[in-house]
Amino acid sequence: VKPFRLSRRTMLRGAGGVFVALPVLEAMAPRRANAAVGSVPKRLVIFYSPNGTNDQATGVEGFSGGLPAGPLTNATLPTEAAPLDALKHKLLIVSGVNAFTSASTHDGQGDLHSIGMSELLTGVKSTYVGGPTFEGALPPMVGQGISVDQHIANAVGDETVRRSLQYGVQSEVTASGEIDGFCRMSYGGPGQPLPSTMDPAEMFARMFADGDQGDAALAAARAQRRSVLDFVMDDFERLEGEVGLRDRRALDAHLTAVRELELSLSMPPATPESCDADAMFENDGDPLDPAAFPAIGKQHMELLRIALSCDITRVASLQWSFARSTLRHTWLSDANGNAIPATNIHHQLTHDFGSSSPELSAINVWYAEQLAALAGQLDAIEEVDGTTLLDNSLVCWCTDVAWGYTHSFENIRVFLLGGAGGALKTGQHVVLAQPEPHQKLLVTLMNAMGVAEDRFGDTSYTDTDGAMFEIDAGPLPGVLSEGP
Amino acid sequence: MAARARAFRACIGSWLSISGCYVGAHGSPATASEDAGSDSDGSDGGSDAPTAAPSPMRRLTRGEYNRTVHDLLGDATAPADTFPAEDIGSGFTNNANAQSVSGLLVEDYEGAAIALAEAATEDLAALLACDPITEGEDTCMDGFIPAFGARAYRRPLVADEIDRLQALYQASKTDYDFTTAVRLTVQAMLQSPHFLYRVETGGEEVTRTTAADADGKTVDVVIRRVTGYQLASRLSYLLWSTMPDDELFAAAASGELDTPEGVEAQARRMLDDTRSQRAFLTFLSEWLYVGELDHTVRDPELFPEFTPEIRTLLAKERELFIADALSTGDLATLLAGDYSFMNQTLASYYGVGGPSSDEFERVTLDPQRGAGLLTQGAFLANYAKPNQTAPIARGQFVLSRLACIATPPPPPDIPALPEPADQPSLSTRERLEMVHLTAGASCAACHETMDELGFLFEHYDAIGRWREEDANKPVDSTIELDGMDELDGHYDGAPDFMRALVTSRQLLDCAVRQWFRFGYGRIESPLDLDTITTLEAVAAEHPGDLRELVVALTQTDAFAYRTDEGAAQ
Repeated sequence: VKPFRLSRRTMLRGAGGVFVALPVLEAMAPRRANAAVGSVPKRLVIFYSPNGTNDQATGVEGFSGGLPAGPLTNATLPTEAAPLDALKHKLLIVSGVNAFTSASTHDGQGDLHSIGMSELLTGVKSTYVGGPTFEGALPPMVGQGISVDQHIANAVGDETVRRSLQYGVQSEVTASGEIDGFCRMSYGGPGQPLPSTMDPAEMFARMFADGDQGDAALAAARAQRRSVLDFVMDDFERLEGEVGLRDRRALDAHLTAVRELELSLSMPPATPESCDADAMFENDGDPLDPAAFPAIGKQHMELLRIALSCDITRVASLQWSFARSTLRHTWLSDANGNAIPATNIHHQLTHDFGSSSPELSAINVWYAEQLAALAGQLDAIEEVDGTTLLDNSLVCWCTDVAWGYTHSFENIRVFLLGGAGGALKTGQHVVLAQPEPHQKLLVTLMNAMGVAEDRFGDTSYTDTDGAMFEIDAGPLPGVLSEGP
Repeated sequence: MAARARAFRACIGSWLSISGCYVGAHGSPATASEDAGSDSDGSDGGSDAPTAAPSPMRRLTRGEYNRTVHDLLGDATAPADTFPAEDIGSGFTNNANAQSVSGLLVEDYEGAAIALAEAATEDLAALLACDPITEGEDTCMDGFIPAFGARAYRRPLVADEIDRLQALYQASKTDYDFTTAVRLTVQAMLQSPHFLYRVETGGEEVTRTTAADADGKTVDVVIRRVTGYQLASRLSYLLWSTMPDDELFAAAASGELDTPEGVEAQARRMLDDTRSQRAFLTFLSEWLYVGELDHTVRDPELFPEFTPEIRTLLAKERELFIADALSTGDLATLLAGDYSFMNQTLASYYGVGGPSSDEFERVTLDPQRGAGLLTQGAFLANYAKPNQTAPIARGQFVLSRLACIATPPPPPDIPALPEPADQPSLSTRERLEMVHLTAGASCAACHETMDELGFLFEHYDAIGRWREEDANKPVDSTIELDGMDELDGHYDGAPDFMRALVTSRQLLDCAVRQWFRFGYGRIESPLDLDTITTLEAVAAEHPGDLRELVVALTQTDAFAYRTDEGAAQ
C-alpha cells in the first residue's frame, strides 16, 4: 500500500492539533462557478468503466442496439442503463460509432483491451514500447497521441489552477502488478500516459495544495518556486540542444509539464473553506483494498464534484479499475436486494459467460448507478444563471472495448450526459445512418467543449477486414445543436 | 522433428516475425537488420568497430532517486515512494522507452526538492562544509556550488553552469536571505535534468554514419565512447542503484575508467560491497516477478487456510530465501535449491517438519518437492485462480521469463475454460487437455508446450501446498517436453525439470537477455549482437554465476559506447 503523507505545505495544525484554515487574499479566491459573473464555464468528465458492455437485452454488439432512435422521453432504456432513467432528458446516446484507427487489427499483436484503452481517447494507432514484455503473449499497447481530454484541457485549462485532474479507483492495480497500457487512457502526447491518483486523501491534498497559507506566505512561496522553476526550464532548454532526437522529445515533454506547473502558480488557489469542503479528509478504507472499491470510488466522486463546482479544474477523468479488469465485485445485489455471489473476476466473466451472466449484468448496472450518482450530484448544483452544473458539463461514459464477449470495436457505447452548455442535442438516441469512426466522436466532444477544430487523431482507419477508409473532417452528424 | 515441436516452432515463429526489434531466443536476430548492422564495416560482429544500439537517456527510477538523495543529502525519508509508479517496458520498471513524465510527477519532483532542500539547510555549516559567519557567505557558496553540483550532477560542472547557479543564488539572496538563497539553489539543482536524468552527452567520436529515422529523414548516427564520469554512473546505478561513491568519482577523474580493466576492477570492488545486493534484489524481484499476495483472492470455502497471516509468512519466506540464495550469487540455488526458510506456522501450513517457534529457520526440503523459488507458495499462489491451479499461467511464466520465449496473444474468441464445478470428476489437467482436444490445432500449437510446463506444478495447489490428489485421483505431473531443444524429454514434476533447466542454455541465455534489459534499461536490438554474444560466452563459461555475468555486463560495447541518433552537431 502506497503510504500517504501530507506535506507541511498542505496542512498546518494549531496548538491542539486542530486544523487551521487561514484566510486567503480576496484576489486569490478561486473563481467559483456559482459566484462568477459572466458566462458559465463548460466542464468535461471522462467516466470509464472496464471490459466493455454486456447488452444481454438484445444480444447486439454495443450498448444500445435495440433501443429505437428518437426521443428518450418515453423510451425504456436498456437494462444496464436503467439507473440513468431519471436523467434521460439530459442523456444523449449515439449508436453506430466504431473505435477504429489506422491499424485496427494490429496484425494480431497486442491485447485488445489495451488497444481499446490506448486508442479510445487518442484516436491514434497504438503501439508497444521496448519489445515484448514478460507476458510475451499479451503485450500491452501504449497510446501514441495526445488524448482528447488533454487536448481540450490545453484549450480550456488556462483559467484554473489545475488544467485537468485524473481520479482513479484502483486503476493501477493490475493482476501482474505491472503498470502499463491497460491502466492508462489519458495521454499528454505520444507515449506519455498520465497516471491517475488512486488515493482520495492524496487527491484532496493535491486539489488544495496551496490553500492553507497566509496571503504573504503564499505569495512569497510562489515567487520562490517560480524563480526556481524558471532556472529549471532554462536548464531543460539548454540541454535539449545537446541531445539526439529521442531524448529531445523526452526532455521537451518534461519541460512542458514544468512550464504548466509554473503557469499554475499564477492561478487563484483553492482552499477547503472556499470550496465548502471539510477541512480534514480521511479515506474510507484502504484505497487498494478490493472490498473498499465502492467506498473509495464514492469519495473520488465527491472530490470530483468539488473540483468542478469550485472551478479547480474544468477537465477531469474518473477511471474505475483498468482495461481487462480482474476485480471481483463482491458487493453486488439484484433488484430485490439479494446478494449476488462474486463467482469470478470481471474479465473472465466476459469471456466465460458472454451475455448470459446475471453477475456480469449486475456489474454493468452497478457502474451505471455510479454514473447516475455522479451526474445527479452535478445536477444538484445550481450555477449563477440558473442552470445546473450538469447542464454545463459533458460527462462521457466510455469503456475499452465494445461488447466484452467479442472484444470488438464496432458500435462502441457512446453515452453523453449533460448538455455542455446547450451544445448537445440531449434527450435522444441518435442512430447514425452509417457507421462512423470514433475520431469524429472525439471531434464532437471538442466542438461541444468550444474547441473549434474539425479533426482529431488518425485521418484514416482500417476495418476488421483490413480495408482502409479516409475519415471525413467534422463532428458526428445529428449530435451537436449547431452542426451537421 | 516431432509434430508438436513443429507446431510450437510455428507458434513462436509467427509471433517473432512480426514483433519488430526483438532478438530471438536462440541468439539470432529475429528480424532483418542488415541496413543497420552493416553501417560500419559490412559485417556482423567480425570487426573491431564497436556497435551498440541507441541508448535512450534514463531517468532515475523511484528506488534510484531515494538512494541517490540518501547518498547526496543523507535523506532517510524516501520521498520517491509517493511518486507515480513507473510504467513497465520489456518487463522492467527502468526501461527508458517506457518512461514518461506527467504533471503529477513534475509536481512531486518539486515537492520533494522543496522538502529535501529545507531539511538540508537546517544545518547550513554542515551542508556547506564551511562557516558562513566566519568565512563569509559568498565565499562558502563559491566552494559549495561546484562541489555539491559535481555530486548532484555526477560530474564536474562547466563554468556556465556555475555562473547560472551563482546568479540564482545572488538574486535569491537579494530578494530573501542567505539561508533561503542556499535552499533555492539546492532546490533548483534537485529539479535539474542533470540530476533527474543520467545525461550522457559528448565523449570521443568513434564512427559517424547516416541512417533513416522513423519519418524517413536522413540523420547522423554517431558512435561515441562513454566518458569516465558517465561510466562511473553506469557502474554505480547498475551495481548499487545509486550515485557513484567518492572512490568511483576519483577513478573517473584519474582516467582509471578509460580501460576495460579499470572498469572491471571497480565493478569487482563494488560487487564485494553489500550495496550490490540491492541491484540483484531489484533485478530478481522484477525478472522473477512473484507478486505481493496482499490482495490475492481465494475461495474462502476451498482455502480457509490462506489467511492474511499466511500471506505475510509466504512473502517472508520468499524474501529470506532470495537473500540467502544471493549470498552465493548462484542461479541454480535460486531456481532449484532444495531448502527454504519457515517458522512453525508456515511449516505446518506446508506440512513440513522442523521449526518449533515463531522464528524463521532454514529447512531442508524433500528434493522431490522443493526446488527453489518456483516451488514456494509466494509464486504458486500468485499464479493460481481463486478456486484452482492455473497451469497456463505457470507454464507461461516458465516460457516467457525463464526461457525468453514469447508466444503470440490469444485470439479474442477463446473458448470458455470449464470450471471445476462443471466437470467435478475431472482434474484441472484433464479439463485443460479436453479443451485442447476439442478446440483444435490453433490453440494446441502454443498451448501444448505452454500447458505441459504448467502441469509440472500440478502437485502444488492454488495456495502453494503439496497435494497428492486432484478431483480424488492421483496428481499427474509428468510431461514429455517437445520443442524446447536440449530441454526436450521426460520430466516428473517441477523439481525434476528445474534441475535440468538451471544448467540449460535456454535459461542461461535468457538470464543474459534479462540482465541486458535491466542493466541497460532497454530492449536488446540486432545492433547489440556483439554484446549479446560476449555475454552468452561468459554465461556458458560460468554457468549460473550472476556475479560474473554482471561483471561481463560492464565489459561490452553496449556499456562502453553509446550511439546518438540525430545528434546535435
